[in-house]
Amino acid sequence: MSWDVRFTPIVLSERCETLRGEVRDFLAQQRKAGIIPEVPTRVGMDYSADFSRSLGERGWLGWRWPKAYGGHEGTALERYVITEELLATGAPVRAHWVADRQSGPVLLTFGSEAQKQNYLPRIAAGECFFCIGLSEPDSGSDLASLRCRAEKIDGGFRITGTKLWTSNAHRAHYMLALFRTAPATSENRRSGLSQFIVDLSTPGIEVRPVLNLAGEHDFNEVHFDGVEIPDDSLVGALNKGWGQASAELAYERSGPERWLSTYHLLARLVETLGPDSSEDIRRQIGELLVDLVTLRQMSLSVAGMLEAGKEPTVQAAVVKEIGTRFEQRIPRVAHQLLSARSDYDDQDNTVRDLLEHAILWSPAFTIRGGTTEILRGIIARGLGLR
Amino acid sequence: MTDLSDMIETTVERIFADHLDDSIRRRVEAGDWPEKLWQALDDAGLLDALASGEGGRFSGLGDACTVLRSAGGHAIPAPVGETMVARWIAGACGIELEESVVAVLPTRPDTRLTAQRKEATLVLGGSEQRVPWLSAATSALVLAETDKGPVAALVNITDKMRKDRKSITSEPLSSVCLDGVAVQQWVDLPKGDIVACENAPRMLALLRSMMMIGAAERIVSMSVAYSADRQQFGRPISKFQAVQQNLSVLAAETAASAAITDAAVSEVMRRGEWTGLADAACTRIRLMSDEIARIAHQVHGAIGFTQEYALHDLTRRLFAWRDDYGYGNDWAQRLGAQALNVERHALWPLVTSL
Amino acid sequence: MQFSFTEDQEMIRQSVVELVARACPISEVRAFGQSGAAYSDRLWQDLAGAGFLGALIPEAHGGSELGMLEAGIVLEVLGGALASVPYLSTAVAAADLIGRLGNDAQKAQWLPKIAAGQISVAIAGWSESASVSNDGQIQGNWAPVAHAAGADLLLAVLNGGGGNAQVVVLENSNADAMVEEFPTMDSTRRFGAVELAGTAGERLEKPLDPAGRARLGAILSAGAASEMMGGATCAMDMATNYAKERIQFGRPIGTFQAIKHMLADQLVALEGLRSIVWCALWSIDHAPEEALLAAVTAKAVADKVVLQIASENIQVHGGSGFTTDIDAHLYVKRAQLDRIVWGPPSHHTDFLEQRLAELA
Repeated sequence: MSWDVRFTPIVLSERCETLRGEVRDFLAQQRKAGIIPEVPTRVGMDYSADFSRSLGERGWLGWRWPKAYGGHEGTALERYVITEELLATGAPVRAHWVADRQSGPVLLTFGSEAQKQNYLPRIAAGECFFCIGLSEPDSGSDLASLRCRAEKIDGGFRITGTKLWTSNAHRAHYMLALFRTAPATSENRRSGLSQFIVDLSTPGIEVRPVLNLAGEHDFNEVHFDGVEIPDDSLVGALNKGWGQASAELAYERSGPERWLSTYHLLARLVETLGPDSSEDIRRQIGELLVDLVTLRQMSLSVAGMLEAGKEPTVQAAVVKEIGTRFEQRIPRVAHQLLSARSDYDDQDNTVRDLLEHAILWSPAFTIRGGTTEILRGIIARGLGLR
Repeated sequence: MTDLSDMIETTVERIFADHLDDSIRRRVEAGDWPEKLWQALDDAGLLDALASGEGGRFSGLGDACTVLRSAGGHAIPAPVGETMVARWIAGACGIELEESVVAVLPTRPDTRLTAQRKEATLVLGGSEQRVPWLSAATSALVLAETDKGPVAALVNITDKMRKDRKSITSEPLSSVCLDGVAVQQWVDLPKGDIVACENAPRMLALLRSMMMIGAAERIVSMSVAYSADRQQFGRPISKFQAVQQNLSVLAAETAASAAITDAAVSEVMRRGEWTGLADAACTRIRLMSDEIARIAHQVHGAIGFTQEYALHDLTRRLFAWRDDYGYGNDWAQRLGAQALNVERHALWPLVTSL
Repeated sequence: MQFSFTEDQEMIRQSVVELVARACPISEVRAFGQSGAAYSDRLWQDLAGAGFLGALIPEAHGGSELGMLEAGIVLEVLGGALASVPYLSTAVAAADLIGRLGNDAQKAQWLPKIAAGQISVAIAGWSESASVSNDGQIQGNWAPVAHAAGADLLLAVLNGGGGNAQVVVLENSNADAMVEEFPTMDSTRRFGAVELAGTAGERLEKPLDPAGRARLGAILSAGAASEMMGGATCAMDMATNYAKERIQFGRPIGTFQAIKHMLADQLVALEGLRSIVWCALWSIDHAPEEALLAAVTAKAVADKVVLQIASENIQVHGGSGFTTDIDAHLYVKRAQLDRIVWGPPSHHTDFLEQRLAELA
């Protein structure tokens, strides 16, 4: 057994830094124009179809994809730089996020030529939005146990069942979903699953909102009652969808969005405490900075590995495991430091509003995209223990 | 890793295989000097790794870190890092060292050593309370500030100037007082080198961090191997999920600490100057020491607590080394102060510039 | 000294559990946020009818003369049920203050009404910035104050000079409009922002000396900790039951050590909290010099442990824990407010630090 989980240091190219400057200038203008809030009062990415389109117009979506499909043939590190600037500034990237980050890359790897021509350019233009159809009421961490089925019919498939926790299903155009197309075998419970693109405007699809504990509508329950989709909805090979979905999940785990969720709270906390803070406060803030900077270096390193064509599954799990716990730590420290101040309960204390929103969202960080417990299992496998 | 660093690693691993084992460590704890080990390291040129870089002040840092990561993993009982720094500074100042083992002062970020010119003599002032391995050397390379800029001088450290004790690893620790010590020879450092005195503590701390990373990585390997071997309830304890989850946290935190330390080394070398990443690196492994040691000992159970089993050499060193050359707090406060000083929207640019 | 509850106390606990289950089902808790009521009236009346509102009130004034431990038992059950009634501020703190500091007329005026469930009271505790003039006009503001919105009376604790405090009773009638709604994330209770600008009230006759202030502090801290403890126990039970039922990878998720051990750690933490909470409540009447320290310790431990258990309840539930479809979120939101409404966490740890420094 060798413990070979190293994070090779990455030096960003000049091109990356120039690109960073361009993105910063653009975002500064957007902030002046009020499209990005001056001071965020909520955590999480906001949804703006217009903004997504404007990014597409600037050529910053589909960054790594071939130009033949509307992409820009850029590098993973460049994409990383664009992403971290967007998130650190609070840009409303929700609408195109899933399509650009994972649905598109799945189609690029496993999709047919027709599918690539149909969807990729529109995603890169910021005009085509996807959501993820994986979890079900009885299948959370144990995805292979999913039951929503796609029966073969003449010219297509008939879908019956329910998907749950589908963020943005109420606003997306398409769902990239995993359905059961053949019974699992006792040797391999992951066989018999297939990936499909479902056009959400197809009749028979019922989308019901599931409010989160912050009272917001983000999640949905999506019910398929014998919904018929055409043959060309199938992505990749029939019954081989598990591997494709696993690759998709790996994409979902490796980016700076896994440790930047509560960054704005940190920025406002620092601004509120100010330069005359005590030694103890400086130490606490410093410790948060240390983790932030460490996570950034690890993410950069993972982006470098993706660039080199590697599959850094364990590294990505490490980043997410540490990153999401870090995201939860910021509100805890902020609460401790801010609630001791006399202005904490003022009516117009917008930092407190942001803090409370972060507190409400905190539990989600270590659950979504793979729970902490599951991630540790992945790392344990990387250590040769499983 | 480059071919050269592979070669360095192979060389250093062979030296440790030949000249470093538990009996050597016990003898050092009893007060002996590990002569054969030291000679082998010196003969192979490894103690000059930091000083011999050929492209600017920090160009030897990478090789020095290769040696020290390995040394940390072998729980080295010798002042390798300290000697590397002494030779590095001596080389930069044009001072010739005659002894193989030379200490360097100051070692801590908040120490101020002063020097006053009195005709042809320089009179030093200042003290430090926690200097590892000072008593193993007869002289120290001292960096001090005068009213006309920094100076470097090779100073004889006598028994009278020191009070000796032992660290948690039973290695030498001393407090030292330089008040009134007079030197006849010194070098004026270039006026532009205003941070020269800071170089010693920062370099000592960064090298120490790399040693801790090596120790932590070895702790991970040991813990994983032990859990795969040790059987309880009819199977290896590594099959129990609780153990797996703990080891995952141990490995993840170690990998993260290594990541920032490697990044700091890479960036310092690239820029040719100190960067906030170094502060972050020095903080993180120090903060993680408790958790790393805790999980490792928990997984090892009783056997990890015996002297016979090698774990304690590594975990005790994490605890000793984290207090050398500054506490985690010092570096964290420095970063925190920077962050608290920025204007609105300037925190992120600070982060990306570190 | 016996460290277990008496038979009578166990009976009281059983009785409260049944009463609260009937009068405050979870459906009522979920609906409370929308109801606009100041508190759950039905539950309040049932508690009055069973004598629990008179726990600290002498029989002469219609009370049941129980004690702090019994009050703590009631609080624990109420906390577990996420009940929305101002028990701590009214039946415990206010009853105790009026009973000790009021003159006969004052006691006769308010204590029977408290015991009978006819009035609710909110406490505006000691505040550095609040002041009262010689002719009784009060300036000050407090926020958030638990149950202040819609409370019948406000008890304000003010600087009385010479190391003493004075406690002033104010009628919260519409005319004065002293209390504004203070919205929070905790939909199971209402909070208010109290602003007094020259309002006058009736001063309780005796001053609140330093020992009295310590007693009040202990009552509020230990009482809050007891309520929080009840919530944490229910959150832990919820997680444990779910872990037994939820099947993933072919078996209940509670059989996975990651979950199993998390729950075991919760049980250990909760047992520790239990010890210090009961110790604190007992000390209030039996070892008053130590009560405040024990109570503040209990609150500090509760601040940490309760939020963690409530958060882990969500973690165990996975995605569904993050919605309002299940009730886990109610426990977290309640724990968040409990941490600050009786003084922020740093308040309690600062106090403990100070006491430790004095020992050195």
